[in-house]
Amino acid sequence: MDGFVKVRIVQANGMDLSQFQFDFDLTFATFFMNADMTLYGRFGSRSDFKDAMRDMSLEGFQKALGAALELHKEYPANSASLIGKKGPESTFKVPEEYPSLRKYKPTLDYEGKVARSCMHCHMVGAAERMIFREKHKPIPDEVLYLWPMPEVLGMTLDSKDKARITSVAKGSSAEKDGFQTDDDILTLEGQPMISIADVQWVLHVAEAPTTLKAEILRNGQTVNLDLSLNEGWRRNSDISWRTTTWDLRRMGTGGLVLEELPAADRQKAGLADTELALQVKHVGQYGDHAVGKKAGFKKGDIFVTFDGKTHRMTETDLMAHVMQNRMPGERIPVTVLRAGTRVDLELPMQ
Amino acid sequence: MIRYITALTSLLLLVSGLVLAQDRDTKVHNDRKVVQATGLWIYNDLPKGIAEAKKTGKPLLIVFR
Repeated sequence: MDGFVKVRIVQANGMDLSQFQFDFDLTFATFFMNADMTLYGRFGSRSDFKDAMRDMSLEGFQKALGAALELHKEYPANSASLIGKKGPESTFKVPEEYPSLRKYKPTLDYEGKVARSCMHCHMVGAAERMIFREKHKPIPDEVLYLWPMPEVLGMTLDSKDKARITSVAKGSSAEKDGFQTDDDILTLEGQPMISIADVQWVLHVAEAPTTLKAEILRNGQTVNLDLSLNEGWRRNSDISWRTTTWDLRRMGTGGLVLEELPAADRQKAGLADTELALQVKHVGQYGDHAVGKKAGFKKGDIFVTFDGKTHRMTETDLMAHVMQNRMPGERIPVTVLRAGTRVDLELPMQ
Repeated sequence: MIRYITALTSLLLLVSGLVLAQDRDTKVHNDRKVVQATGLWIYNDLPKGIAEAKKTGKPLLIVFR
């Protein structure tokens, strides 16, 4: 770490959104950069609510640090390979330009209510979705299923390494494309990969359908592969863990948190594997998060019909359906199983 | 009696909210003090970090946390 000038940023206020594009649901996100703001790489990944460290490790961070220093030594000879690491210019220059974030100032109020003056990173992600929702437009896949983990394509990367594959799911698109366990992803779309976050970045900005050029190291040999991104590939993502999903729940389920019923409980309830069975695990109590409560939903209710649909869905699937097909003001018919009895209710959209 | 309990509950919530908010503010202030005292990190000042990186020739490690 002594090889770096270390800067810690504790707020989203005033953040240059064209320069700093990262998963705003993270509580730890790192950029390795040149002083001219050329980006060498990112570090910081998450895919679970309770276990924030599942996709990160000190070993992985150390490897990313070392790789960033190597890229810095080669710079500017390697500058062409780094161009793609920076995203397109942002519509909003800084977060305070978002309509829902206009109350925030560009700096913290250290002389006053400093905590209240602080904009959290996840607020930027929520503000981006609000742009669509307030215009009654569907939230696109790339805004809903953002920063996809490589698992979405069937490959799991080692959190203790840069971009090493630890497993490839059978029948997955990664397997069909020829990726194998122990492959090291050296570059993706010509960009050097120094972390899982770097892989996520390329996936995040990719427009499907497409194929991404991958250079991998396998048994000491460099192999070139194509990584296929088919139409709708992002929809395998799970967004339930995200802090920003709380705002989706406010808008789409009136503050209800839903989880799939475990197999044994499905059987007891007489529900087949292919049927909808989302149980209410939490009912919001205040303000807009209590809309579900006021509509009569209770903890323990099992959704068996939602907007005319009875097929199996995850909470993510249900949220995506609502955010892309149902607008504020609409009322969605829902049938729940409550103590063995079917109850018909309506869920107002916000 | 009910109005008295409601008023007391509201007052307790207000006071605990103020205490909680004060704790959060104190935490933010203390965080800045502690991190700055280590001398290892430039705290919340990107222009200063960029200037230091230009001066030293070192790359930047920018952490959002």
